[in-house]
Amino acid sequence: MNVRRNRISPDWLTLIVLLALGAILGRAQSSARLVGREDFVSRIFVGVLSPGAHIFGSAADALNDFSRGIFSARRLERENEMLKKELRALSVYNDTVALLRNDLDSQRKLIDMPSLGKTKVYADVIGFYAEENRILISAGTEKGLHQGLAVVSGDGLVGTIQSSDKGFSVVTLISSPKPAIGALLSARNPPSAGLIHGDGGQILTLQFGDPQAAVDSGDLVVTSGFSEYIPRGIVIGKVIQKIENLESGQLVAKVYPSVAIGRLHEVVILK
Amino acid sequence: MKRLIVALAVVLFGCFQMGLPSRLSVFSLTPNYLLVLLAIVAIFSDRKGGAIVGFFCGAIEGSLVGINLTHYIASRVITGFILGWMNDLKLQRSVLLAVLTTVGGTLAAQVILMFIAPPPEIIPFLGATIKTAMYNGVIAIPVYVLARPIAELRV
Repeated sequence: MNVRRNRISPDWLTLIVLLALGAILGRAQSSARLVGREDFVSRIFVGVLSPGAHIFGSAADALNDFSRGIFSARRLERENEMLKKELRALSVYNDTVALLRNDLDSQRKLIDMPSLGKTKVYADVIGFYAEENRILISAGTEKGLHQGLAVVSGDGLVGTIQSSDKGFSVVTLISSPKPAIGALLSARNPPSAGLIHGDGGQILTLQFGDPQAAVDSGDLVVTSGFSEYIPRGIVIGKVIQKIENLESGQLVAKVYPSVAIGRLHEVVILK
Repeated sequence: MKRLIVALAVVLFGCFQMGLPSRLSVFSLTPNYLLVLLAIVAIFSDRKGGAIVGFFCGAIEGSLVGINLTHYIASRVITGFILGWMNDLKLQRSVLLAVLTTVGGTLAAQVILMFIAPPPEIIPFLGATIKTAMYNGVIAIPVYVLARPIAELRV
């Protein structure tokens, strides 16, 4: 009876054996880690379980995505609509930013523009009359402005003052048929000179005094300076077409103006 | 036959343990599938069976974690042994018993692990253990429902 009572039960023996086995495996794991490797038990288990884990993981992800798609459809739709609206608003904002940037560039050009021996008077464009080729500016006789003075923007010649009064002036744009302004091709030597005027449209006409004058597309047209009030060297535009009239012996060039009148906000008057 | 099913279940739950916990975490609660399996198997088993299943569960977990293999094996073997021993109490098997056994088994296994391989921060470890035990208790319900007909097979 005493012998029976002292015998270890199989369950306890199993427990002890398993714990001992665990200690051995743990030691093997520690030894393998010391040399930077995986122990054989870990390698076996990870190798056996990895494919299954990958399958179950992917299935869980798919199920998760599917259920999220179903339960979040309304919210996603609302978010989508909201994002579209924001995108449209952003597009408008970008356009506004681009316009403001252009304005800023224009202002910088105005400030940096050489005075060409004259005094610069700054003014705002307060009226624009496209049909009459006129603009109204916010400076007049109180600043010493008078008829014939050159009105310029950062991009080039805008026109000349037609009349002036206290607080405002009327400017005739270069797109107007009258008056013609003295112009020349700055890159030519000797410079080919003539008179430039508008035709009522956007394109200007440069009529050369010399029918044999050298001219070609792309030539830069500037003011000639043969006027009391308009100094030499203000950019007017670029030649886009040369027209020779053999019968009348005239030579004209079509010029694309460098100033976009519709976008003018500020101008400088050279006094 | 039953041993084969248990062996397959160990592999299956090992796959779950490797691939699913992070994907099925809810409010930072992550389950421990191997401890759920250990508790459910132990309900239908005895001390020896519980210890053997605990050995494999611990070996898998220790292999996946990469350290403390001895500690994982020891904590799971002892837990399986104790849970299997509880069958001597002849408690009525039910879903409630499965939930309580799983929650208690999870807490016991992790507390044993905490004593033999103390973590750097005890309080966060205990907090995570309690959360895992609760999650495991929920998972134990379907696992018990599925395991019960298999355990009652006469093969």
